[in-house]
Amino acid sequence: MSTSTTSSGTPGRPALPGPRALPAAAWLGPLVALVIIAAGVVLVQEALARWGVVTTSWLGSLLTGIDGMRAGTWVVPAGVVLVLVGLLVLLVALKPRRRTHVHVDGEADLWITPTALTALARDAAEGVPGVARVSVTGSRSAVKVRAAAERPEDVADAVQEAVASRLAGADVRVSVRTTRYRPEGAQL
Amino acid sequence: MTRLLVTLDRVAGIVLALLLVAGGLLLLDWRLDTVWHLPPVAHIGPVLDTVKRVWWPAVAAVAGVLLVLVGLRWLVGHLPRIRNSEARLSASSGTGRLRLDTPSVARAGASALTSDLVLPEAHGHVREVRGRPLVQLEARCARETDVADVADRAALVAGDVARGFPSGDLPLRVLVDAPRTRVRDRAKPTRARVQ
Repeated sequence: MSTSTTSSGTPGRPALPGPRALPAAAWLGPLVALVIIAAGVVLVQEALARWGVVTTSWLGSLLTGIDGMRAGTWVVPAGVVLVLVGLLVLLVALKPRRRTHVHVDGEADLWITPTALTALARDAAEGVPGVARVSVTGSRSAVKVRAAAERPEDVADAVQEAVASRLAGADVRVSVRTTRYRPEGAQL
Repeated sequence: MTRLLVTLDRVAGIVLALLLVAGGLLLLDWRLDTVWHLPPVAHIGPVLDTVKRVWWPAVAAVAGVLLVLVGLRWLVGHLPRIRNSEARLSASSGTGRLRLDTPSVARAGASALTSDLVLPEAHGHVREVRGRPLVQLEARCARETDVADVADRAALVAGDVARGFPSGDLPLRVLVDAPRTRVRDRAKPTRARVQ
């Protein structure tokens, strides 16, 4: 089953993009903005220092400190850290926005979270007579149900049908696995 | 966030990353002396001479103020936007404009979507997607409902909105989340009834 990424639009209008999470790069913008503001403040302070309004120049002190500096042993770890941080920032900047919802077929532009599908699947599986324990995991592409029963062969089809019918219309694969239920403390 | 702002953030992130990597490689090469053969002692005499020029304070002041303004504008762009709550309908003409109070449509849509057995909680708000308003209804489904029931409920509301605005001026989207977690669900593992 395919997963839709856009919703069906009104004729003559482009389809709207599907719901997505904020990009990981969203915090990079404010961070860079703060760096830019800090640089601006340093430059203004530098001008005020040169005009004699304030006594010490921050930029002048920094440049004087750099002039004559030697490549000490600290340079290698500092360089490695800078390269690693740079690569990390690059990954964050390029990371695509995560899709948050699964499209549901129908007349409405309807999207549902994998968590909601998981809850519905869990409730459906729990409602099948003979099922003793249920665990469900879900993603944007699949919902996996694990049901434990004393006679798994008797409940497998019923669980499959209950879950599939409960999630019908959502663009996800449903897989059900049944196992034999062993009560806690039972002899294996 | 607008797409332009997201793109700006990405570009800024890439530039920042490249600067960090370049700075790191420069530091490593300074110490290891393998590629550029940089002098072992840093000399930035030309830079020190530049900041002593007569014109430097004026240039630094102008550049500093510009940088602060750009940074503040960028930060403000990340704050939640106060949107225009009205949308212009395409049926407007030279004889008059038709403007729609979109939040009231969102509230009415959420109210119509709410149903104890299918979607017990719903609220609506208006977003701007690609420069046009989108009524977005966000709901929580009931634990016992079916996806098909949710789709029927959403189709009902979408149909009402489509009938009210047949030109498609006001697209509607429904987002459904999981039911609220009950305390007893968190306290112990799932146990189904055995008959």
